[in-house]
Amino acid sequence: MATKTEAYVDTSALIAFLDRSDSYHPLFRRLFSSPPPLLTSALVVAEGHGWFLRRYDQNRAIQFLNFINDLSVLTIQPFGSEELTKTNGLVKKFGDQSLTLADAHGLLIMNEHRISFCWSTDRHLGLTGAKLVISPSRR
Amino acid sequence: MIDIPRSTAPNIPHREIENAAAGEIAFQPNPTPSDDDCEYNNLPLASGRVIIPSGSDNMLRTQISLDEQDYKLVKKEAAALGVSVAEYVRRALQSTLPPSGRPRWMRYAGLVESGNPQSSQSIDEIVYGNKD
Repeated sequence: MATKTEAYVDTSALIAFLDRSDSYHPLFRRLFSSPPPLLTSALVVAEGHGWFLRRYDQNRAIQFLNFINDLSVLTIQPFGSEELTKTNGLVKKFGDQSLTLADAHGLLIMNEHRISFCWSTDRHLGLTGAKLVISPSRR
Repeated sequence: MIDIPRSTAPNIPHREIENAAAGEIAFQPNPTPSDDDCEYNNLPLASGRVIIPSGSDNMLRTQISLDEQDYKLVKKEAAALGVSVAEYVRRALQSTLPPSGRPRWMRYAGLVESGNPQSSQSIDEIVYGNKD
């Protein structure tokens, strides 16, 4: 039986799924209902938590963490000193793009895991050639 | 084909048969309409457990095992609520199962309504702040 190709998940995909006001909410609601194996960065989890903390409150931020905990198809890649060194290079390489460390770690993970599909509404994640799920050819 | 001995499907009304020593609750089927009824001739077997369909109330009969302490607690709570042990277990299951068999995380879909259709594209402004 064929298995689904794994995809990288960015903070924007998580927020689009969780925020029903977002214009991409229907797309990500459909994608998350039957997802392939998913990978993300520990920094994405931190960003998502920070978004709920800043935009809402501690309770919503905890609900976000509960969601991540329940999302059993998701593997979270750690971010340590080795990743910092590597992402530092990417941030410099794309110095004109205002890449966050979370974005850079995402690009690194996709490169190291040979992941070509990215769930994101952030065009930065397509900088190294990954196909964004919001691109017309992928919808 | 799974052959169920007739002794496991006696002609008794549906009821719980509780074996306190074993800590088991067996849900016996309703009586079969006739000996020729094929209801028990093609029964599904899940993890070594026979699941017995019932023709009268759209229920499947199965069997669970509880340790003695849990069994006593379940029986006590069910009695306090005035329901059968089976009904108590059904209610407990319904409170924990995800709706319609959906993945657990789908309960969070549309958790918030920010009012911003560009919400997912303006995360950096919220998390890191606007550039001046």
